Amino acid sequence: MNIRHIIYLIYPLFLSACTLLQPTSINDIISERVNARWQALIEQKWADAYLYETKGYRESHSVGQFKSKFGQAVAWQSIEILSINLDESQTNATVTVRLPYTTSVFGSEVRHSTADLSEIWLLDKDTWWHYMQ
Amino acid sequence: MTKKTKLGLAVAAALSIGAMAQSAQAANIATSGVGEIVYIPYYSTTGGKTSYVRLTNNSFETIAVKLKVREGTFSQDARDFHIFLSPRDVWVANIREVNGEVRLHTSDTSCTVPSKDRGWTADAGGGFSINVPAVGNTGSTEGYIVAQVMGSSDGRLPTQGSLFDAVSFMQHANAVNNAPDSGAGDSNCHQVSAAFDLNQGLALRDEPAMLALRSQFTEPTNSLSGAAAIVNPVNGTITDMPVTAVANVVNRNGDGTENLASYEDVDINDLVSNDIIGFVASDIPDERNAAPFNAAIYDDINFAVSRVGFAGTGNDAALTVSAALMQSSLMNYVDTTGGNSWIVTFPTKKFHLAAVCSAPFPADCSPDITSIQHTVRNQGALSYVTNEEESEFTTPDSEQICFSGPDFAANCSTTSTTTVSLPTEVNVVTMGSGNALGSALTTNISTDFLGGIGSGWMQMRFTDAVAIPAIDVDTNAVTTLNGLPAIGFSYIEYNIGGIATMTQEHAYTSPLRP
Repeated sequence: MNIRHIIYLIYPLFLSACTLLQPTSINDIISERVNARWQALIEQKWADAYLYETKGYRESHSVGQFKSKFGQAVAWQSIEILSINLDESQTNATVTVRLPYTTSVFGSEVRHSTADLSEIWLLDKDTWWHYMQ
Repeated sequence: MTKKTKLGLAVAAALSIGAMAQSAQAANIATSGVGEIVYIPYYSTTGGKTSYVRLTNNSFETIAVKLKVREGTFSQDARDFHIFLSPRDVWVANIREVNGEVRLHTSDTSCTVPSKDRGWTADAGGGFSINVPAVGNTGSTEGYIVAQVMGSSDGRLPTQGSLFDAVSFMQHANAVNNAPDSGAGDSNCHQVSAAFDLNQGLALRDEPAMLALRSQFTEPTNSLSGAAAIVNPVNGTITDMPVTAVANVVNRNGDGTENLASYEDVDINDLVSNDIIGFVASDIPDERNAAPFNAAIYDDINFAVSRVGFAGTGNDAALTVSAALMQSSLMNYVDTTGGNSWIVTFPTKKFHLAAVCSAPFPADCSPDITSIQHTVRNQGALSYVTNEEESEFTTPDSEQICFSGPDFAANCSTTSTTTVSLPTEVNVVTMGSGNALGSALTTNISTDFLGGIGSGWMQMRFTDAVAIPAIDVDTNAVTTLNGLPAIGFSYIEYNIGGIATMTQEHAYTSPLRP
């Protein structure tokens, strides 16, 4: 078996590995960031979630100020991305997510519900950032 | 449930037995929180918010309730349906956006009209939901809710004809929502709903199926109370909201006692009934069903309750509830740092809308606020200053009283006068910058007009309102009501290492004040 045969054997495996490792679309890239940010929020890892905010927000707000934007009356459960809509320039995305949560209304039994949220994500220096509204 | 703050101990003294009988013959703010109409002054589904509603039947009778979701721009009924609450029943529902559509959801099994098998959708997590069609400028994402008792029943069966027992049908144990022809038989709730066929008009209100149901109901009673809250799942807050109950809207006996006559007590062909049960997707009943046209007005100068009446029909009938809700001014806590909004809802404004708006609303239907009196406490005060008169001022300018408007000389505002208009049924009045509720129904009072940054007290007078003449029922004297029928509260968002919210119901001054 010469080197050419080895290459013929290895090359398809190399392509498959690359395909598995790389997101295939802008939507995939955005989804990965949206899910990661929300997972950090659900786990109350505020410093990690903070890193997904735009540079402008991080320059004017500390992690402590970011954390203080959230109350404790609602427990987020998970996140589901419903849609991602890109503008023509493909630098501004509107992401609709569904957020299952639990809360206790009227001071009584625990209630389970979901909320459909609209988020803005902006592309800056090849990375997508959450725009805090 | 929150009592009106103006009706404190002084009022309790004023409401002697005699006065109680008087107010019982006239529509009045229910200080007990239990009445015939319950107003939830605000709901919102913007930004992922969910608004919760709880209705409680405080009586030993089954009551028929009409629930209306009114959009905040022009009070259009975006969704309405009937709920039948068994004795001591508690009903909970929520309103939120799902897939871009506003929907009302409940897991409660109380019978509704339409029944759950028609018009409602079974939700994946349990319960049922019904859409709230997009109307008005907000697309029904903001508005207020009205629940009105249409009739009450102690379960007496009609003596004429072959009729079903609606009251036992409506008990939770018997409430079943099988679809017709399902093989399991028509559900009890479905049979109740069938009496209110959506395709039938008011002319058929006395058809046998409807008569069969109404024959078991009598005059609406003061039995309903409510509670409300807004959940913001994004910032993790729950905000309880004060609600307003109006009692004694329908008192046909005229002596403060309820008329318990129903069709069973009269010839079924004699169409005299004391309930106000109407069809779904119909305006009826609403505030115009008041009878007699009397309202109880609290006089906060003389600490007395006056009973006033109105003549006329149609929208004049709405004046009864309007008068009961009328206030010459609102007062509350104010904070100009961005987290404070005042909800000011005019729940009966829709009845005064015409080619030209009718009194008490001005002709352009957008009452102006040109007189705002407020105190502003500078945040830079070196020590805590309370709002009590006896507090010590540690810095000379720690508290300023600023007057603005045509009647007062501005002494701390860079803007001498300004006009703030409240153009919609639900108005979210924001102070300074910020729109904490993310509302589309905002009217802003600028920081300049308020006299700077700070927090304190504010009084908003309805100087643009048109006075209403009324007759004092007991003295026959002509009197004048000033102000507007307004309910609402101050919403405050604050941060103590995490975000939190609170509300405070508006305090009011009597419409008998000039």
